[in-house]
Amino acid sequence: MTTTNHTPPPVTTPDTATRRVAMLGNPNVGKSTLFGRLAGARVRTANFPGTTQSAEITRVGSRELIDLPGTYALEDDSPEAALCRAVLAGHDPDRPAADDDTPAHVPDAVCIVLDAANLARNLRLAGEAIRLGLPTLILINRTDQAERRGLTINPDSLANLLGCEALLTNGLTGRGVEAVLPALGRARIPNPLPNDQSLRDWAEQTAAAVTTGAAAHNADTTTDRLDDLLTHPALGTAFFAVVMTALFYAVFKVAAYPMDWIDAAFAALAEVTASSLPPGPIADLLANGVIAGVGATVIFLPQICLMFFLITLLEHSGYLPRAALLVDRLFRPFGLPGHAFVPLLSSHACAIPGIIACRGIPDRRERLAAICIAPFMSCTARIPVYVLLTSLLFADRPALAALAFTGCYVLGAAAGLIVAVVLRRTLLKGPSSTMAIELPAYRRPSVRLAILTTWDRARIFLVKAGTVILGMVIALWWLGEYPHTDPPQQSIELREQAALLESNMPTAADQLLDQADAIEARHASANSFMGIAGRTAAPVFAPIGYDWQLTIGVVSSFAAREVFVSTMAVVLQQDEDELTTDTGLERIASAKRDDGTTPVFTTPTAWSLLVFYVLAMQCLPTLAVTAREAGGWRWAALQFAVMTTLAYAGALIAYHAAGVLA
Amino acid sequence: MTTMPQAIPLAMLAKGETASVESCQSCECREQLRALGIEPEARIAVCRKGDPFIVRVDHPSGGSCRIGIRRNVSSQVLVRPIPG
Repeated sequence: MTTTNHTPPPVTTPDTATRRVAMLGNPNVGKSTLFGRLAGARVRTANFPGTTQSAEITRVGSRELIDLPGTYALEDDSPEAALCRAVLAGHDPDRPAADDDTPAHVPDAVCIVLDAANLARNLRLAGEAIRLGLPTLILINRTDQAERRGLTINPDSLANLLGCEALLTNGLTGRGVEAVLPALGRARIPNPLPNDQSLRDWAEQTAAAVTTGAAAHNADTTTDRLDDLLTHPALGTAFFAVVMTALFYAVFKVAAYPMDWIDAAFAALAEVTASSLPPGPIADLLANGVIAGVGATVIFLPQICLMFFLITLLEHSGYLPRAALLVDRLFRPFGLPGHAFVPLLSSHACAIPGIIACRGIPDRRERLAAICIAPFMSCTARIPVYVLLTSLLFADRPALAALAFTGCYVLGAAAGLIVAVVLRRTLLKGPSSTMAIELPAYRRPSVRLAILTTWDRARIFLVKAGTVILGMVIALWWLGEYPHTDPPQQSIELREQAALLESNMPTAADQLLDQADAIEARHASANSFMGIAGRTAAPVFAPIGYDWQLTIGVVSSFAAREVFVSTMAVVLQQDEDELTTDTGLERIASAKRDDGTTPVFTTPTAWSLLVFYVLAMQCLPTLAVTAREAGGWRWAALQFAVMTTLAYAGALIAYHAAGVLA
Repeated sequence: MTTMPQAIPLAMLAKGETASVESCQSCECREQLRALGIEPEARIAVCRKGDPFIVRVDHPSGGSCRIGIRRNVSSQVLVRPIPG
């Protein structure tokens, strides 16, 4: 195949201002991989697995590169097409829906990515874009797939026919990518399309003119066999179960090692801080507020990274659309299409990219149902709470703890599917859409790309841990520490007794002093701002077994649920009379209620909390995304009401059932 | 004079058989199928029968792609088998 590229005479364009370049293409043409190559690790917005569903923007030199969502056409009624039209018309990709603002910046160039193995269909979209009359650069990607079928695409011929430059690229190997940015500066307006021909005929004719080696279409026996196996009702489902088990096993087992290291590192850091600073509020804030609180969150970074890494690998291998086809059969009874599979799978990492990925569901009612139930899937932010509670419930029985852990995932997914059925029979009543999905060729996934995606997610998570969560931890520490109160009468008496016993019975005196310390700490905590707030809200949560300390944890979780563990680490810290180097878990497990004997976490309470956290809607960013994607805050309100009601009812049942069984 | 083969539902084709699409009129998802290239006069080959039903859409210029559809859709798409 020739690698020389046709270069028409360049159009001189002033290269002073920022040049906006939009990348357009069908789904599955490797557009995002190319974008990743061009952008490197500089992606500004997140690249969520499960195909690009929103426009992604990055700056490369003086250029602003926009990766548009994959679309089959510009003129159809899909949300992707609408976004592409808006951006190409000059609207801001972040606010494409704002009709009133004047189109600010029509792209200076369109970079159209074509799949060499399916050129005729891809050229239809290119034809639609050419009609817009913008300077254009054509990239012919995935030539390896075409070559495997004996097809050779001549970029020079295509450039001559279209009247704009055409390059051969390979996003996976990087071949030809270095020529893209210089060529963008030379992008020129293509020849107008003939008026007397349909888009379809034009695309077919153009593809035929630039392709050589088009022989009889032969069956691809390897792909046929793989498809046969992977979409088989029994074997395919078994394989699917193995893949999903392996995925979750890796996320929980393999990630346990780096999690232990992070835990140890934060514990050591807390110890060093506590011992190197003079005792007082500053040392306390740093060691027990900041380091303990942030550490309790950052510890989940390995799991989040692994989850996104593996989903990206699966996505790029070509397996996910097959799995979606298979899952379609399982989802039908619940009124959801197979398209909902990738969004709901991604929701196990985080509901936000999951809800955004729901844009790939063609039917409106099905899309809304999927958006509403996505937060029921156990996201990585719930993992801290699950780990804490299952290890409290089954301290020395890891097998049972693992079972309970898995049970949380099953409970969340089952509740989501049941809510989906109810929604599809009431508010979102309507026929089930039929499914048709493109099955891209199987390929070796790019580890490099998966690492880039993972890095992006990790960065977003760390920024959150370093800002929102850090801020909350400091605020909670302060609210828990102030105002300072006088010691209660009981502890004063104990101290007086201890002073009398000190010379004769030092051991007994020490015990009395310990008791006094504990009483004072609890008194201070109960009379702090946070204690007052917890006591005020406690009656609401008393029926499901939470005392005022747990109420603080639960209420603060409504902003973001992962703060529960760090909140508890801070709240319960005040029961200790000195800076300890206990791991957070030991401290939390041994914490006592106001009576000084009942643990904060009794067995029924732990079960109740576990069920509550599986089902409750405790994530403000998710509600905001639901409102945006579903087209109104009433959907977010519905989601919040349904999930929180179910969570409360479920926790009530769990609390009483566990109480009876215990 | 050769007679055109009868239009039959896609589901009735055997694995490996090729056909020209006659109409997708009765499909609710015909817009979706059209975007994927399953539209009148498109040439398709059956890769897998059953549920899901998998076809390959072949373009005369040599390009192709695989599309997975539900079994019920395969009985709504009418095709004319291409002998050979």
